[in-house]
Amino acid sequence: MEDGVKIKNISITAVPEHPDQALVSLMTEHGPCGHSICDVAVSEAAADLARRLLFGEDARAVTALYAHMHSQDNKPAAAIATLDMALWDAKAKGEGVPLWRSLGGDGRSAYLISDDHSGHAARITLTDDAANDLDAIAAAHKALSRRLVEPVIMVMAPENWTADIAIARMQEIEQHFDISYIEAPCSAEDIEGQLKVSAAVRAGVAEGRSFSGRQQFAPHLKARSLDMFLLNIHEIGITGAIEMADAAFTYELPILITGSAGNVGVHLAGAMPYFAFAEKSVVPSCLTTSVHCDNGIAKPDHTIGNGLGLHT
Amino acid sequence: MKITGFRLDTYMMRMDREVGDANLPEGVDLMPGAILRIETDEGVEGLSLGFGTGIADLFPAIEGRDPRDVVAHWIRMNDWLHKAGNEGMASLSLGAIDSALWDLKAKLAGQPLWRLLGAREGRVKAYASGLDYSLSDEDLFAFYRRMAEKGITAGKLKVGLDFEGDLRRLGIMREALSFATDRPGLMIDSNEYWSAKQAIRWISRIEEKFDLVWVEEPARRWDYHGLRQVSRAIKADVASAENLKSLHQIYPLLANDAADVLNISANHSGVTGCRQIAHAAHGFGVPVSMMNCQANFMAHVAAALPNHNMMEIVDPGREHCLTFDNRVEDGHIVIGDTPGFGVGVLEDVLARLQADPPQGKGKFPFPRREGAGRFIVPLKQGDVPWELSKPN
Repeated sequence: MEDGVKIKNISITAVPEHPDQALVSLMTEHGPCGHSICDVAVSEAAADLARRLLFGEDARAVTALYAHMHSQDNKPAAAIATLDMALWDAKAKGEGVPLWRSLGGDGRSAYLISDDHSGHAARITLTDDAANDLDAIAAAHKALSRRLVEPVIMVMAPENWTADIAIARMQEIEQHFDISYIEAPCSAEDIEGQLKVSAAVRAGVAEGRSFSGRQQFAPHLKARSLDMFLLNIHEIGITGAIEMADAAFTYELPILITGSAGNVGVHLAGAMPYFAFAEKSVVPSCLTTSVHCDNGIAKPDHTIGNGLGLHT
Repeated sequence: MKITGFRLDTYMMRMDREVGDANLPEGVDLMPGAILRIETDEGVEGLSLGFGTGIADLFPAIEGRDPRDVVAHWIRMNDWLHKAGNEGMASLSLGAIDSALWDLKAKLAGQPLWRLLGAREGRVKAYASGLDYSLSDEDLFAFYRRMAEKGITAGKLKVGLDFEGDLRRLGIMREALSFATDRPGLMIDSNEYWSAKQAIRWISRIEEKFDLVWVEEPARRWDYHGLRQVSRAIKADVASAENLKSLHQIYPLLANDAADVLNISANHSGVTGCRQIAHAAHGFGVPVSMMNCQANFMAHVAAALPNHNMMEIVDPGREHCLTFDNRVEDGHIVIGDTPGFGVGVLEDVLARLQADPPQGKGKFPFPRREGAGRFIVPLKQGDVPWELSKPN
C-alpha cells in the first residue's frame, strides 16, 4: 500500500451555533482529508470506531471498509455511516473530482421534497386532527400546482398509527386529494400492514428512514412490501444507500434520499438508476456545501469532494 | 474530458485446449473475440473484452460526454434501448461500453479498477472449471491437479449425459483437487440440458456418493418454478443466471427464492449491471459468483463486491493477443496495480489473427443439444475421449 493514503487520525470539530452537530475529519498520512457531519454523540462513537478499525487502512477501500465495519458485533450504524461519508469524500478528493463524479453520477439536478412548499414535492406530517391535515394538504397542493403539472404530495403518518388507522385516514384524504406516497403508515417491520395499506389506498407506501443496513430492507425486498425506498445516508451510509438503491431497482422502486447535512445526499442522484427525490435540509450558515438549492431544485457544483466543511 | 470515438476489433481465436459441456460434448477450440476501445480527447482509452458488436447504434448516447460519469451513462443507455430491446446483442453492447468506461475511469484515477471500486485488496478466491466435457480422464485429472497446485480447492465438472461417467469423473476431479485440501468443494453444471425433474433424479443419485456445493443451471434460465423445485429437492445449492442479461431478467429468480447463488459476468450489462445484480442479491441475502472471462478481467469487480464467494477460472489459453496483470496463486486470483483492468493489446498478434483467422473446431454460437429438457440422447462412441458407461 502507498503510505500516503493510510488513515492515521480523526478529529471532531464543534459546529458553531449548533452544539448538537460536529464536523468529523478523517485524516490520511499525506493524502486528502475526508469530512462528514453528524450528531455530537455519533461523532464520538465514530472516533472510537475509526481508532479500532480504520487506522492503518487504505482510505480508498471504501466499500470494503463499510462491509468490514458492518461485520462487527454491536455496530453503531450511524457512526459507520459518518465514517463512510468521510471516506467517500477522501476518495473523491484523491481522484480530484466531486463526490457525484466519483460515484459515477453526472451531477444532475434533483427535485426537492420539503415541508415548507419550497420544493417540487411536498411532505406533510399528518396529525390526529383530520380537518387540519386536509387544510395543510390543500395549502401544499395549491403551492405545488404552480410548479409541476401533477403535484407530488407525500404524507407522513404519526408514529402510533396502525395499518387500519392509516387506511381509514388515507381513504378519507384521497376523496379530496391525489397523494403520491404515505411514509410509515404502520410500524417499519409490519410487512403485512404495509401490504394491506398499499392494497387499500392509492398512495404508495414508503419506508426506510430509520434503516441502517440491508438486513432491515431484506424482508421488504422479499415481500415487495414497499412502493418507495427512503434512504438515509446518515444511517445507512453512502455505500449502503448505493447498494440498496440497486436492490430497489430489482422492482424499479423509486428512491427518496432523506435530509442530509448540507444536502450532500443530492450527490448520489445521478448514480442511482431510479432516483426520484431528495428531501431538503436547511444548511446552517457556518457550514459549507457544494449543493445549491433554487426554486425547488438542488444541484451540486464542481467542488472537489463532498463540499462539506466549516466557513473560516 | 470527452468521449470522442470508439474502435471495435473482432477476431477469431484458437484456444490452447478444447472446451465443452452437455450441449457440446465433442468440444470446440475456436472462440470469437471482441475488443472494444473507447477513445477520449485526452488520448486515454478505455478497453473491454466481450461479444458486443452493436456499439455503433449505442455510441450516440455517450458521445461527447465525460467518461467518468459512467453510472449515469449506463442509465442513459438503458433508457436509450427502451424500445429497441435491451436484451441480447443490445444488452451485450451496452455492457461492453459500460465496462470500457469503467476501465477508462480507473485509468484516469491512476488506479486498478478493484481499488477504484473500493476493494481492500486485489485478491479473489477462485474455483477451477474445466469446461471439461471433451477432456479425457487423464487430461481432466491433469487440469484439476494443475489448479490444485496453485492452491485451488474447489472445482466444477460438466455433466449430464452419462451418469456412470459423471460419477467416475467427479471422483477424478476430487482426487486431483485433494492435492490442495482434504475436502475439495465439488460443483456440477449441466447447462440446462435437463428438465427440472430430470435434474432432481440425476442429482439425488449423485448426492448418494458426493457432497456437492452447488449445481448450475439444473433448469432453464427463466424457470423460477423449476429452479426452486430443484433447490428444495436436493441438498446442494442451485446456481443460475449466467445466460440472463440484466437485473430485470434476474428479478423473478430473486423474488421467488429460485437461486441460491447467482452467476454474474460483464455480460450482465457491464460492470454497472453486474454490480447492480450483486447489490440486489445482497439485499435478498443471496451470494454471487463471477463467471470466467478472458484474462480474468472481471476479478477486479468481484474483489469489490460485498457478497462474492468465488470466481470461476477456466484457463483454456485465450489471451494470445492480450497482456494482463493478474495471476493465480494460493487459491486466489491476485491482481496487480496496473490501472484499469490492467489489460493491454498485442496489436501485431491481433492483426495476424484478423488477417489469417485460425482454423479448428468451432460451433459458435453454441446451440442447445438434441433432446434437451425432454430426454437424454446418449453419447456415441467417439463423441468424447473417455470411456462411456455400458447400457444396462
